Amino acid sequence: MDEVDKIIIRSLKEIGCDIDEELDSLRQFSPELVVEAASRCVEAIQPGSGIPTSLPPSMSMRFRIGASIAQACMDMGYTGEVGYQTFLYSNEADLRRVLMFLIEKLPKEGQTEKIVQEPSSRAARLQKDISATILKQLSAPWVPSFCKEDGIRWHDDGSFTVEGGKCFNFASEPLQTGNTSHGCTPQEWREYCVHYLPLVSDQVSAANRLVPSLITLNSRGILSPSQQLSTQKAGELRKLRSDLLQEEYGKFLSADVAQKLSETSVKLGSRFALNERLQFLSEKSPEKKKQPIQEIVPTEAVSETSEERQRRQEEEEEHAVEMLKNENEELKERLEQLQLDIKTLSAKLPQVLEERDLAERTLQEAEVKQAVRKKVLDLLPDADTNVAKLQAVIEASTKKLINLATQWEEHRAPLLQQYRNARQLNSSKASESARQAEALRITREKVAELTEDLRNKEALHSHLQAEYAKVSKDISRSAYTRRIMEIIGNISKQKNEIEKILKDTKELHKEINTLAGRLDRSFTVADEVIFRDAKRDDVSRRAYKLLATLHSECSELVKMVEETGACVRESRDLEDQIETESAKNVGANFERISADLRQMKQETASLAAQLKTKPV
Amino acid sequence: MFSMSEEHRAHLSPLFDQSPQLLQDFCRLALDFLKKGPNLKLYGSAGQKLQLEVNVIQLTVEALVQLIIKCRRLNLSKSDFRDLVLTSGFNEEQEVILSEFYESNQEIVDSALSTLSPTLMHYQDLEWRFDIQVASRALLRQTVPVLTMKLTFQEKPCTGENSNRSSLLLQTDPNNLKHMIKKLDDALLEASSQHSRRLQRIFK
Amino acid sequence: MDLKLSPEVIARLKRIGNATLVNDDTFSKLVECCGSTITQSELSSDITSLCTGSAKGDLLKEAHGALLSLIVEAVRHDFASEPLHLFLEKKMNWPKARCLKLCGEYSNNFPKIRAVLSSVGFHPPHIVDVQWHLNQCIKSSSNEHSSAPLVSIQLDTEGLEGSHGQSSVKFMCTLPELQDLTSKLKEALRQIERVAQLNHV
Repeated sequence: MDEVDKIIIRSLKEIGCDIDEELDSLRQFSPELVVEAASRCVEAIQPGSGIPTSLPPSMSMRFRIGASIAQACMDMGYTGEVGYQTFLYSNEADLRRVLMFLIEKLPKEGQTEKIVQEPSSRAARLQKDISATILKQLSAPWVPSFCKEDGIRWHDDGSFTVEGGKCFNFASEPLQTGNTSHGCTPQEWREYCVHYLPLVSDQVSAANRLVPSLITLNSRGILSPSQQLSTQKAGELRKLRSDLLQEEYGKFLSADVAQKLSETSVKLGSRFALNERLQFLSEKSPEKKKQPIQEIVPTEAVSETSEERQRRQEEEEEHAVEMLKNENEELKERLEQLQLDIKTLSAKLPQVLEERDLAERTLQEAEVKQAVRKKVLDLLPDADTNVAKLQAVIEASTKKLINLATQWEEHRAPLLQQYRNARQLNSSKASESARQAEALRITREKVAELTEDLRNKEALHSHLQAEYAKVSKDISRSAYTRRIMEIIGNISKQKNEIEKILKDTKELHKEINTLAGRLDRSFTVADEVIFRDAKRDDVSRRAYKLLATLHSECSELVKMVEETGACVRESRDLEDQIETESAKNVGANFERISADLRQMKQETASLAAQLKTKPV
Repeated sequence: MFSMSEEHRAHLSPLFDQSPQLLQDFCRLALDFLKKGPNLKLYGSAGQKLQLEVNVIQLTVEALVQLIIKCRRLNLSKSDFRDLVLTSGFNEEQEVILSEFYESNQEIVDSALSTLSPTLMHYQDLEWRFDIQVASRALLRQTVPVLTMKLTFQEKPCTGENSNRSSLLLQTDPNNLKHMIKKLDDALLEASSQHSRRLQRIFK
Repeated sequence: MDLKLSPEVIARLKRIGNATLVNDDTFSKLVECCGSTITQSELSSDITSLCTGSAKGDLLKEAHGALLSLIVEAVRHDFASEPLHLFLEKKMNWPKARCLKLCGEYSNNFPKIRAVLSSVGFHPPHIVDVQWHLNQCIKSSSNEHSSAPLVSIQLDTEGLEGSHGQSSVKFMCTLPELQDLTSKLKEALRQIERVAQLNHV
């Protein structure tokens, strides 16, 4: 039992119980210590149980603590008998059983370590998330759906779990964010954006469509970044199509032509401006025509008296319109004329240009020819001297050339030599550097290899260290196992001895039996012999009588011996019982209980007195 | 106990003076009616045999079926049935045949009767699957545990062979699942409670 | 995982970082309004008035749209506030104060926006409650013998937008069938608990 007690005390110390070094048996535990040990165990197994570790002075509180510890033990599945008395009036054997049960239930260190380790991979994190979500949902109390907003339950840590609720289809709508101009001018578009374009959030028909629409917009933007460009192009095309005149002029207006024929370009430009004006006019004129008519209709209806004046006015206006029309027609005609002119002129233009180019080229050729001819003509009057002069010049230049060539050779030879040397040196250097680079590369590889090796070894080291740290705590384990082995050895030895003794006893029994049998048989033989003689002989009769008494005396003696043995056995049993009873130290416990009872009565009395003294 | 109307009696009257053999034939016709509905062709051939008009045969068969059904609905005992048959005009020999017919075909009558009661969706089967939703188009990383269930129902009492089955896909989360189980357990507990067992005994 | 935004949105976000285009006051109003727009908590009236009143209305509208896109995409990709801060500071060249402002607003609204995003999608009707009553059929129009007790069950469900919130499924079952149903559900719960435990240890 000492061994068990030591193990229990060790474990209790590990969970933070303040136990004296001298204590080495549960018998020496005071009630305070017992309660502290038990409550610490309960706290370690079920954190947050809230059982105090020290006994308060009040007796009733003590009982309550004892009872709550006992309840906790029962909740954990302790099957034996347990109550407040187990802790407050401890009985060694019961206490040992309870503490052993509690210590077995203590969480193992390995388990806590595992929980601390953070899973790092995606899969592990996902698994952790899953179990956390499920546990959160399972542990939360049920709440009716109308107490949840959109089926979402918010937890204390700010996270939420989805428990029903409406779901909205992923329905997206096209959003106008202001990048496409839809064929208007930038100014117009900007105007629209500033004043009329609604916010993105106001463009969707329902609030729950905003998010899908935003997601769709973004993913569409990612998938086709060229799209917005193409829409711009399309806008431009539309613009071109709408502006027919500009397109027509675009055909004529080539930049090259405009530069070279500045005159025509000026003309064209002025014509372009005119045309624009014309177009503007022709667009405006129907409106102008309309307006007066619209004005006329009501005035006619209202004032019939001033018909004359009105008619005059009408005529005037009609005249003006007629004039304008005429002017318009005239201008149109002029425009057509001018357009025709432009056409013919621009058709002539390339031909003219070509002609001009040709003329310029012939001119240049002629100029070159003329210059040569002029020089020759200058030299012609003094031909001989000039020829000699020229020959001298030629000779001098050849000489100079030869001289220069020799000089070149002179310089070239050493330079060439130098170049060759340098090249050789360079190549040798290059090979060396290549060699060195190779060496460097090898070294680098080696370094990388070594660092990798080092890292592996370090990892191994840390791993082993962690393992070592884990293992080192279990020194007691080997001690325990050794002790257990020893105990087992002792037990087997004892078992052998017991068997030996049993065998001895059996042999003794057998011997006794055989002896008793022999005795019986010899007695009957003697009995028969003497009885036969006793009929005839007086002495024999006496002998027979004596034999009979002897036999009965002897058997009585044997019985006595047997009875003595039984008594001795019984007394030994009783002694054992006494010992166990005295181990329970009932007397002391009884005294303590009665003292506690007295104290409690006192407390009750004092409380009652307090109650009485306090006027209601 | 119900009293037979005069009309009903009148429709049954052609049977009163028939031989047991013929009465058994009529019983067979009535059984056929219960199983498959009226069969005018058969009535025609029977009418020819008995020199009776088809509609008389039909009325007679229908009256016989009505008798059986009414008695079964009221759950008449054998002796009550016997009294009823004898008082309505049948002789004892015929009564034996009719009683035999009544006793042996109760199940068929019951099933014919049950087709008339209102049909309701009736639980047939449940299949489940536990999913974790890890991503959706709008939220690329999430963990939503979901229990998807397929409930199969059957229209009961089933009308004939074509049992009308339908199934429904539902889902729930662990929290609500726990609540559901608790409530259904309550129902089971209530069903096996003292109170409801006593009620069941009373209405047996 | 990187945040993927369209070139259009990126260009606009870069513009938002520019203090000359969007001043600090407008910026903070914009950011505050974006969070509430997505969570549909309150009307974004201040931003509308801001836009209509200003000559830079188009810019503000663009900025508003781009910020909404940014926030939705960030939440969708489950971006924490720190990487978002980094993204804005390094890639969008935002000044630090603006990054902080946006990230603060972002992390405040993150769970709510997540909740909004999680409700986009579809699922079968979700059971949220159960009602039952125990019937003892005593008499019926067609049959007058009593039969075994029946339980009628109503499953209250919440589902798609179209079926306007709550609806229910009603059916009948006999006691053995109810037993069967309950045991199947219990088995499911056991499996779920096992999954949770399995992952936990």
